[in-house]
Amino acid sequence: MAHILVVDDEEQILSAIRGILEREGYQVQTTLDPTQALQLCEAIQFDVVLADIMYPEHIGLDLLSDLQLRSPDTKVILFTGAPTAETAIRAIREGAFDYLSKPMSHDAVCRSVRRAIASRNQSLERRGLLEEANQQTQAVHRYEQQIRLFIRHFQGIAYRADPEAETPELFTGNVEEICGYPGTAFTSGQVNWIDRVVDEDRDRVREQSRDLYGGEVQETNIEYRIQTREGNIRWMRDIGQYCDSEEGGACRVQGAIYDITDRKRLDEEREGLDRRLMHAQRLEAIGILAGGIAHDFNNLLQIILGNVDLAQDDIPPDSGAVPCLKEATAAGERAMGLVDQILAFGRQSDSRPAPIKLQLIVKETLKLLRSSMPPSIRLRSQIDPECPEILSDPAHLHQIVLNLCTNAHDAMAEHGGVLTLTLEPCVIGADRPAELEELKPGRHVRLRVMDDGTGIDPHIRDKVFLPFFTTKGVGKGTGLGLSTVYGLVQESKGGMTVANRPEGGCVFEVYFPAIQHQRRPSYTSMDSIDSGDSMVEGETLMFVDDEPLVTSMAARWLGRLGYSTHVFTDGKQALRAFEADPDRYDVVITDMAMPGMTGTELASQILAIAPDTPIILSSGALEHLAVSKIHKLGVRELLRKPYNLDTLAMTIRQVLQ
Amino acid sequence: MARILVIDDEQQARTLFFNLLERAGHEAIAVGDGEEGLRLMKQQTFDLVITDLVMPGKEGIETIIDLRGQYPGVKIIAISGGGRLGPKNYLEAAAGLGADRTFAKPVKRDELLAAIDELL
Repeated sequence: MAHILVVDDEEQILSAIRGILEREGYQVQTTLDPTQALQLCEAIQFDVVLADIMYPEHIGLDLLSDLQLRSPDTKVILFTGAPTAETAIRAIREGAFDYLSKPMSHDAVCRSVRRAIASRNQSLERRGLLEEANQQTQAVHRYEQQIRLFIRHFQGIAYRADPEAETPELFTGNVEEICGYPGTAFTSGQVNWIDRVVDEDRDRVREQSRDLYGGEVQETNIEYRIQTREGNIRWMRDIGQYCDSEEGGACRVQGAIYDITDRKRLDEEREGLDRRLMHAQRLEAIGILAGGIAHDFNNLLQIILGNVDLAQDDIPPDSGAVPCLKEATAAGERAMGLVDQILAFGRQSDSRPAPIKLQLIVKETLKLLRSSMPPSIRLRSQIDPECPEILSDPAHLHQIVLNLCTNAHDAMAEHGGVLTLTLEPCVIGADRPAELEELKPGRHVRLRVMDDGTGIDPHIRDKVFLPFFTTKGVGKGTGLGLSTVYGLVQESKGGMTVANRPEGGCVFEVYFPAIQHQRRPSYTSMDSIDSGDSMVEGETLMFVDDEPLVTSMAARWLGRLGYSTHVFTDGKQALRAFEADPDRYDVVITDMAMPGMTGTELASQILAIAPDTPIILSSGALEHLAVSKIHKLGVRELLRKPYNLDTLAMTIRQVLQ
Repeated sequence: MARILVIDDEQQARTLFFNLLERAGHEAIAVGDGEEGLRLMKQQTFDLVITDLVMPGKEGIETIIDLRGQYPGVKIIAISGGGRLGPKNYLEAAAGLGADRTFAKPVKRDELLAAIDELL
């Protein structure tokens, strides 16, 4: 029910209007005092105020403006006993809803009040709607802001697409950082996401997408790789969902794509580590087992071979049993070789690592192979003579090359092919593959043996280095060849990989760490005898003995040990050569008793020039020498004649240390 | 001709070494483990002991230590098929602990007899 205030200075008019309005059902309050009227308006929200203009003081007009300040929704109807056009215009201009002239008819009052109430209701309603709309707009703004922030900080790509459309409606988030293209490149159709998926994964992704976009599945959750604009490969996890025609609209596919490259890498690393650890443990266990097997075999072989040997004592030399026993011995000796191989795998055999040029070993082995390969297998080799030295046992290296080549040969035995062997220096970086993780970054020598045989079934890829694992028929392979290679390579602190070649066949790569040291230029003088191909290019020795047979043998021996050797049969000549270039010689080995200049004289002269020179004095009659005197002279070691290669090598090593 | 004690847990190996030594003119006695060998050493005199290394009971390395401690003059030859428990060179250990000569099984008759002649 509307609430109405009537303001006039005449009691009769007040009660008359009250009467009219109350009859119409309005709630009416009256006042004679304009000030009280304002107070009332502050307390009560009147729908309509009827007020006399009270000409000439214009109280009604003042009231109007005061009222409008206090209660803007209240409609004011002014009336006057002395109407003029001026006051009417002014009243309306100042905001009065209506303007009535006294005497006012019942109808005129009621009509005006009704219209005022309707108008007030309308404007109230409009303002309410406006406010509501305003609030909604603000809410939308806030929501948009949230979404924008969410997308800006979203570490993935958010997408939404019409299954029928060619391009997504929305493709936003971290798009550019993930794939190198801005999101708009995808929404505009310039770039197609499925084209960024790598070839190997594309069919799988396409198939899943087809099911999702066709509504056959409600959700997909797939991992795949993409190629970024820069050409890098990154792993994605794509979680998509099919939204059925929501709110009567069209159906959509939407989802999120996350970059999981880092996690994937960690997973792979962990998996690789686990696998390698397991592999290593298994190999270690087999190594221990191999030791046990070797022990038992050796004991049995002792009994077999020993008894065969004894039996041969008891039969006449022309007996038919003689060749049988010889065969038995030969077979027993072959079995001994096999046990050695088992032990080599179990790393129980002796190894004597020395600086060595693998290219020389490879060349030697190739010679052997050329004579034993069938004509159906062609042998190609590419050997870089500049490969740096490595530290390994020559016998082990022979075995490694031979076993790998034998393996390649066996892979091509049926159909023939080309065995390619390359040897070259290479640098292993920090980005080495997981299989080579144990290698220290730096210079290495790479031996590669390739065949174009049948290749390795990926299922058995992890097993090829396991002892006794073989794909060859019974009696055709022991399954020890590659496992032996593996064990020996490990012992040389090297690493190896195996892979199938895309064009067929497989490739084994063995990496050996290069020795880090400066190489001296090799040197041969008029008096020196060429020591032949040396396995190492290390220290330079001066060897002095008046007996040419001794010097030539020493040159051969020392050459085999890898030293660059200059030999002299005369002490004075040797001294001249030393004077000419004292820094050239790392060790001097001289005989004691020589005509002309003796060994002790030569030694003291050399020490006078370069006091730190290691000198080894050899003699057939050391007992007769005043040993302490010789040591006082500065001679490092004495070598009793005759000596063998081992003693000589050991003595040289001692003085070099 | 020498008096030789053979210690080997393998009966067939004992027989083999016994035959091999007797034929070469030596007097041999073969026992199955180190404990028995040391007991016999107390009762009789031997010039040389040939011992296996990996044996159940009192094994070779321990036997060599005891022999060296109690009979400094006796010559010892250690023979082994290799380590049973991993990459460990038992023969090297035996040499370090006082065996005069060591051989890996299977040992050749000539080599073993030559070593005996050399030691005695």
